[in-house]
Amino acid sequence: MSALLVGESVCKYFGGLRAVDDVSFTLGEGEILGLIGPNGAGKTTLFSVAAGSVPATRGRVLLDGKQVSGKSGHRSVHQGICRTHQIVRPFARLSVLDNVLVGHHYGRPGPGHGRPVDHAMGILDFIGLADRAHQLPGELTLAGRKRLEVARALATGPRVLLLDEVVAGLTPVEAQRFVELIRQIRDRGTSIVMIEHVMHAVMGVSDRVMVLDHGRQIAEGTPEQVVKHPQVIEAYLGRDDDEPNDHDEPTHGDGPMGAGDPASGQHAKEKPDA
Amino acid sequence: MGQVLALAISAVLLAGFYASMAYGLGLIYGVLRVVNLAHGGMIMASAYLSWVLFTRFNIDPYLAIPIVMVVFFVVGVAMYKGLVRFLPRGAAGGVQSLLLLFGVWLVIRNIAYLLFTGDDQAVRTSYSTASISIFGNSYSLNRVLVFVISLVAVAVLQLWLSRTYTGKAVRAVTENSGSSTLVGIDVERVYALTFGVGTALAGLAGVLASTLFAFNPSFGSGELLKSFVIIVLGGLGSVVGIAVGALVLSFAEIFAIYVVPSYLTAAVGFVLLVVVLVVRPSGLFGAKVLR
Amino acid sequence: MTTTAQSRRVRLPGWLSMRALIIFVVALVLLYLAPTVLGLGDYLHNIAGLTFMFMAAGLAWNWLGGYVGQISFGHAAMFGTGGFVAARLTISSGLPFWATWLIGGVVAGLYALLWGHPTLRLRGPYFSIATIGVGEATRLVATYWTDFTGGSSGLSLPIGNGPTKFQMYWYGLYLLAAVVVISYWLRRSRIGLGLLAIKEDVEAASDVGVNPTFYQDVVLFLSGTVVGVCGGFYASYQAFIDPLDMFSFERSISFVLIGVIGGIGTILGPAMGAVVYIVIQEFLLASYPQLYLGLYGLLLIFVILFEPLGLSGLLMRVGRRFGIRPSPSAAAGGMSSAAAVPDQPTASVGAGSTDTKDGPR
Ligand SMILES: Nc1ncnc2c1ncn2[C@@H]1O[C@H](COP(=O)(O)OP(=O)(O)OP(=O)(O)O)[C@@H](O)[C@H]1O
Ligand SMILES: [Mg+2]
Repeated sequence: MSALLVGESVCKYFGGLRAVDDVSFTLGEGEILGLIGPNGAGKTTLFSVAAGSVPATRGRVLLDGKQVSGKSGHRSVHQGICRTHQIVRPFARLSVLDNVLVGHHYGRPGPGHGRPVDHAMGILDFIGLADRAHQLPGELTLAGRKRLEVARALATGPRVLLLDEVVAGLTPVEAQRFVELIRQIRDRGTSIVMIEHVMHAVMGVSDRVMVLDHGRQIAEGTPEQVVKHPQVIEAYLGRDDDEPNDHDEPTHGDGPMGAGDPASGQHAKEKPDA
Repeated sequence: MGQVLALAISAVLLAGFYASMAYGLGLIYGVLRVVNLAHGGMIMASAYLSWVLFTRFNIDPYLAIPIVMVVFFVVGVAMYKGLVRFLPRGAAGGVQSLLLLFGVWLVIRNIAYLLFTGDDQAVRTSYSTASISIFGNSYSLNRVLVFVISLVAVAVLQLWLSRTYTGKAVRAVTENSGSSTLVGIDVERVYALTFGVGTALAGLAGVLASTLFAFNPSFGSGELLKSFVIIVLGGLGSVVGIAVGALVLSFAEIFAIYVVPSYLTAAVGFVLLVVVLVVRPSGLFGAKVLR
Repeated sequence: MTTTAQSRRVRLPGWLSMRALIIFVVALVLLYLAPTVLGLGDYLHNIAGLTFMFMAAGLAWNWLGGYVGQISFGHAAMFGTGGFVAARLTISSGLPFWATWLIGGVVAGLYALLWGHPTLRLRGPYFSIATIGVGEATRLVATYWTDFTGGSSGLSLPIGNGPTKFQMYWYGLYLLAAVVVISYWLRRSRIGLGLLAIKEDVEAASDVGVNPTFYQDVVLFLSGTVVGVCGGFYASYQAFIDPLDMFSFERSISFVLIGVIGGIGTILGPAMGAVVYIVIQEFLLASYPQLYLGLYGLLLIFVILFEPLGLSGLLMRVGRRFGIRPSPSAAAGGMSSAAAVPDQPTASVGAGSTDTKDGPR
């Protein structure tokens, strides 16, 4: 598999804090790469660097051999890489359709540009929001807003889609549907990097998984390899300074990450929106 | 060299006043995420109050400070409860409160015009011309007093914020209003209190200004702008930041006399602002202010 | 003219609807003919010309203040710049008056870019306060720069080689017509969507490919240019300008007021706002000039507290009575931020704003 997206020793420091520390990775064409790690591991920061929203301290990210990091966000989008936000950021007073149209008009020029509304409706249809096109984002459920976030990103015509915790905070049923959706997006030809805390989601859909902890890459491989990796187990459960984990600790077979959603507390803030 | 030292001391003295002036604006913004555009108007109004107290009732401006601060505290709380409370707040929600407080400012200015006409006024006490010698240069007594009082005020405020329960609550809300509610802080009360304290600080700045400068009802727009420059330069919520911002501004203004004609020193703050924005788009202290 | 357009089935650009075009052309023709048909008195006729200019300026202010959500308290800087460049050119060169207006406008637009490019990185209140600084600094420089502005004695324009005050009505109308077209285009084309996205969330907009710096700069340039042209118009209209008036804080406020009264962010609201502004200015304040600031301050407070979309908001309420529902996204035209009022989304403009065109007449 030829590498589409390549990270070369990416570092991002906030003052003394090494949010991302010397992380290298590759993403093949048509691949889904899972990105996991405890809270504050630097996952979102890595996305921000890759999407050009924040400059890297050192290192760079290349899309098809051309640098995408260190430019402004919109230029990276035009090159074909688009991110979603962990805490959804719809344009709250634009209709769902208009939200997607923004992505369409300002994204990467590509097919479907003759008929913007048809194209946008096509994406909404695919994502399952077509009947909501004329509502405001605030009228959607959290799952709906997460879909919108993905639809808007898809409308920019990305070659690489960076999904930041799109499943977290959803009910199991919704989560299952979403995982299916992600697979379909990949099948339509978009390569994906997804950050996810919901383990069965990320493990089920990813071709490979990369684990970050305290900004460093501690493991990489197939889902099966990663869950057995001793450092990964330690990162998630092992250290004394970590707060005690959920009650339903990993049982047999499910690997260390069987526990629900380590970030559940943090997501409380994005639920009660309207 | 002697002249540079003299100017530097002037700058430090001025910075003291600037810090007390900017603190109120910064405090309110930090807690409520509302830029109090009426800040300059409050400073102007309090300068007039100080002038009235002095000319009518013979109350020395420095002794009037407690009275004025109490009055403006009440005004601030009333303004919060009567107007600001109804407005949306938040990082991007400022437009409405901005325009509303701008309206308040216009009204205050108009009232001042009606009451006091547009003529320049100044508070001239018996010691207005007295001076003090520092390192062989003499400085007006007023400027030194203003500096000292500003330092005291800022220090008291800092103690209040760090030692008392209410002060800590204010700081907690500055950090995160959402979780403050969770831990049982009455956020509405903190908002009202902060608006009161911030306005009282504008009141203090107004009294101090009345001893230093001549003023008329348009007075205050420059003060608002400077306060703003200071909080952009220095960041919110830390005395050190405000002090640094105030020093940078006062030094820039005072030493600008070497470069630009004196009538343009008022524009120095603005130029400084633009320069900082070009060089460091998010201000000297980064995202703290601009988030 | 409208009939030929219909019969030949001319394809209109996406941002222009046939209905809007017809209303626009009819309004233009009516206003063009109005003075001859109605025979307005000199006073009203001249005031109408001035009103057109204020409408144009208010609309242009609104591109920045309403479409992108960056409230400027410093537009007098461009108004004055445009006015004085035009006046200087009229005095010292043989250029036709409209050329002096245009050059003045472009200079003003460039000046706006000069300070705006760095300051537009600031959002919301920060930008607004910076514009107060711009206004003040410009005013100071202009007042002391006697060689250019004539200082406190101002400049008198030569009489005779410009349009007469009577003709200014029609030039004002042309100016307004052009500005209305730009207003429509800016809002209804794909650019408008990008501007709304920037207004809602700059970073999220950038993350889906909108270049906020570029579009904000463009809008500021356009806005500054038009306000500069208005300054030139004003100079010709008054035949005398002085920096204390042209660059004054009150001048800046007038643009804000026109926008806010009419309905900030709506397409044509500020045009209505300008009418109200002129009425207050000419008929109320002529007798009570000392109440100028306070009256406008109170007006601002009331509008913000009770009808944040100003006259347009009122019209929309009326419209809703009659069952006219604006499109959902139209709400973004309003001023309150999404984050701030999540549960109050449908104070909106949409279809209603096409009709507000009738307001000014
Ligand atoms: N703008 C910033 N300034 C300073 N520190 C930051 C900034 N953004 C992130 N950080 C810090 O960098 C570290 C990594 O944050 P990041 O958001 O990337 O973690 P994450 O892996 O996405 O965590 P989570 O699972 O909670 O989303 C954290 O310690 C965070 O506090
Ligand atoms: Mg994250």
